[in-house]
Amino acid sequence: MKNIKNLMLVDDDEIFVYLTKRTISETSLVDRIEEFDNGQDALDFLKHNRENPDRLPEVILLDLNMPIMDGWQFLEEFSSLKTPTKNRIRVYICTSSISPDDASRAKTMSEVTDFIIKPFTKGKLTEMIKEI
Amino acid sequence: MENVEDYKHALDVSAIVAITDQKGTIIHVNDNFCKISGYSPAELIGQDHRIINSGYHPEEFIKGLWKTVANGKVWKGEMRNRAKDGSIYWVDTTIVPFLNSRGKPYQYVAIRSDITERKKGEEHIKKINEQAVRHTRELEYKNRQLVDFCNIVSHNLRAPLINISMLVDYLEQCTDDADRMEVQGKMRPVVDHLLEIFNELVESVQVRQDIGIKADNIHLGECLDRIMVGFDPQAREYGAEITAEFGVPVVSFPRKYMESIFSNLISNALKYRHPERVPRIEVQSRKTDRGILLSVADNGLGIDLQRHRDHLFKIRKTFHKHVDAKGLGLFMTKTQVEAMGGKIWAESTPGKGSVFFVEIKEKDHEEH
Repeated sequence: MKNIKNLMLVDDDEIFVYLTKRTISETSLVDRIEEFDNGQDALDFLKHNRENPDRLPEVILLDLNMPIMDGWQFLEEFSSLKTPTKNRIRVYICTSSISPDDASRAKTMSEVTDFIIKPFTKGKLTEMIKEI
Repeated sequence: MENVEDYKHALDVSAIVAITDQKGTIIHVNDNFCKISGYSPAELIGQDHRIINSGYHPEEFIKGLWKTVANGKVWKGEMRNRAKDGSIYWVDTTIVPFLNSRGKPYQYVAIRSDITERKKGEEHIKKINEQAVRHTRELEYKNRQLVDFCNIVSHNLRAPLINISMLVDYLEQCTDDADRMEVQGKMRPVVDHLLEIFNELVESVQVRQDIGIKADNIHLGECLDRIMVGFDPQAREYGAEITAEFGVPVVSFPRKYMESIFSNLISNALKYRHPERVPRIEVQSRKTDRGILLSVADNGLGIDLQRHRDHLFKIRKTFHKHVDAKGLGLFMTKTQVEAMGGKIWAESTPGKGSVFFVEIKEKDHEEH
């Protein structure tokens, strides 16, 4: 099974980021993890590395509730981003929100591969990575 | 002729009838007229019909009536009259002009029926309707607050709880002590954070329910001075200039809430100052037609309201990267202001600064 070269973690929750990184590294399925605590910084990174397919993530784990630019705002701008590999980037919304509105909104967005409610286990993470 | 007499009798028994000459002087009244107006025939005959005028209808209305009948046309309408004892009655009225051979009116016959009860009913329904609309609006507002509150609870409490749960899971899997210590060390801040949010929410519920809180007469200048004592070291460090212009120097508001408003808004203004200039904060109060308007204006970083307007006063929504940006303050301020029937909102230009407005009702503005 092929490894994922780059995974992007967009979440302002320190604990979640800490635990997710640990979990991911235990699967040994991901080479590099880029973390951002808000949508704006994540977007800037993507724009900056537009022509750099080596650095662009194959997977983005996106939180909804973040300061400065939240998950929805990120997705809006992400959808209008022109990147050659954009279509191959799988975006997973990972949120603690149990609001059905959020879930249905996610369904309407073609950029979103899946909507996952935290917490998610190591098992689920492995499954996700295997799908790529 | 027998028929006409019958007709007249039937009319006299069923309706209120008065006949005036072309100048409006009463020349005949029937029993029903006397009964409803409280005057005897002797008190009415020879009087101008204005004797039953209650002064309710505007001049245009009366002029319109006269114009119609003076032109030989029948006038129909509802009128509010005054009886001898000063009491009010409503009548559904038809005035029929009688024309002479030259086509000019020589007498007017007014046929009326008592609709006082119906009018009372109509007014009552109108009042109840207005009350119902008011209540519905209040309920809609309260419902929105409830939904907001539930969303806040589910968003803000669930996240730290999940973290604790995940950390506990991890602890159970830890094999060495160093690892265990590391994971354990991460739990305390999360628990503290959870507690803090929880307390804030509880307090906001108390604020919402404590609508009987006493309002004090607050001297705004003194109040501002008092909270500035706490900000003095910060203000001095940044070289901040804070000016106050209280067009309305004294307001009626719970002291605790006013201190919280000033404290949170000044704190925000200082926290989000622009790194390249001296922070300048202007505090003002002035009277408007809706009450009293307080404003705290700064020349700081500003907020992108297009992005953040909906989230400005919710918990833990921060707009800048700032170490202290916990975002609890504005939520509580909004709760307190709204509990007193006021409003709080902001205007801002990113890069230039922001103004926060608080509108509060004047004392005795609303009597229920």
